Amino acid sequence: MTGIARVCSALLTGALTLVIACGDTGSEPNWTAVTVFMPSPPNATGDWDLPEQALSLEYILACGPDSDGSFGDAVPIEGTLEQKEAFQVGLHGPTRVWRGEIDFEPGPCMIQLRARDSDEEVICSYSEPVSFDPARDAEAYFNMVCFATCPTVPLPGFEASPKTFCAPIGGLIVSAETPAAVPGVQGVRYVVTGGQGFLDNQAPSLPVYEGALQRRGDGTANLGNGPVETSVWEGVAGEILANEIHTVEVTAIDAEGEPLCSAETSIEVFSGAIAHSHLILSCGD
Amino acid sequence: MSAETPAEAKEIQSIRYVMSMDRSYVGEDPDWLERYSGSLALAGTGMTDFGQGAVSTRTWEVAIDIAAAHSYLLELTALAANEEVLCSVQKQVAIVPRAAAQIDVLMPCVIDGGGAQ
Repeated sequence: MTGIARVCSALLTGALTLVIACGDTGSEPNWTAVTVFMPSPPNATGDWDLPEQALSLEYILACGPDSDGSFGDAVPIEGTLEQKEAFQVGLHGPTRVWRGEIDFEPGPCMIQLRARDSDEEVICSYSEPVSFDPARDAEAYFNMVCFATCPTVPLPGFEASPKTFCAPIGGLIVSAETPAAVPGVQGVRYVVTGGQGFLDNQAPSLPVYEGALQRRGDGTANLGNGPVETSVWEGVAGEILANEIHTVEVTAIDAEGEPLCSAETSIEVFSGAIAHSHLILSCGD
Repeated sequence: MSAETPAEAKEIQSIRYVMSMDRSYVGEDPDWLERYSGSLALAGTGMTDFGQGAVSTRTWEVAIDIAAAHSYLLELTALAANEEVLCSVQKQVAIVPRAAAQIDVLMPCVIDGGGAQ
């Protein structure tokens, strides 16, 4: 083993992800350092600002499944985690961090996390099957997302070793219209730029997606001087981080690839949404 | 859904939307049936580039709680106070099951005395 440089085995379970960082085994191989991220929901309002309301976080761990795969006969291990620092991601409030140590048994286990408010009511519970070797896996990370589905998104550059993280994302479809009367339009290119990096508010804007839109047919638009025929272009950009502002730029190009006209807008995709960003290029028409 | 219009196009007093469902069969030309309609509410201001540099915009928004998963023709129409049509756009959108749909449309309304050029 090469110590800290060893990298992770990500256990994909359903729509949520557990990431185990394989670090130095240390002198207490049976204790695994656990970190739970609890992000704020988008557009948090009033009663549903989960990280603010969660005053305690407990875990229940059951290991050694029965023959039918359930954990009904397992003796659960219970404990609590402590709230630590928070960090800001995007514009929708802090992501709270809870930390602690759990004595995992090797092999298949089921862990449940329960967040409780000031009345000790459970306001969010989250379960995930896990299976790893505590003698080898020194760290475990959970993303306790209680407000949306959470597909897996690989996000490079987090801490020292590559990890796969579970973060809110949405899909983005870009479309554009160009006036049919504008001569020389042979294609439309697009660039989607991310404003901020995950866990790094200072990251520069970087292209997330770029490419060419495909011709999808004809349309009609009224740009202010009556209806005009248009050419419709569309493309599926892909998945982008939700709750962060992205810039979408489309450019009509001629046969030589030279830009004829362009337009630019911004979009903030809601978690789990499929967003359509539609831009009309007037091209001086 | 949301729309963005040039802030200089002050004549725009409202944005109306109509979502029509395609009730044609596969292989036929679309047969649109009006299904959802209403107005977008003025939600704030922003900045965008209609092609001549960044300009101030007004943003308009509305949310339809639940829409049947289907193919739709979305028509957005910017109206003056006297209901005169100032500019409009049509876009076909597909609403897929179990997914939120988010539609943002940039409307470069070229209006005498204001708007994008």
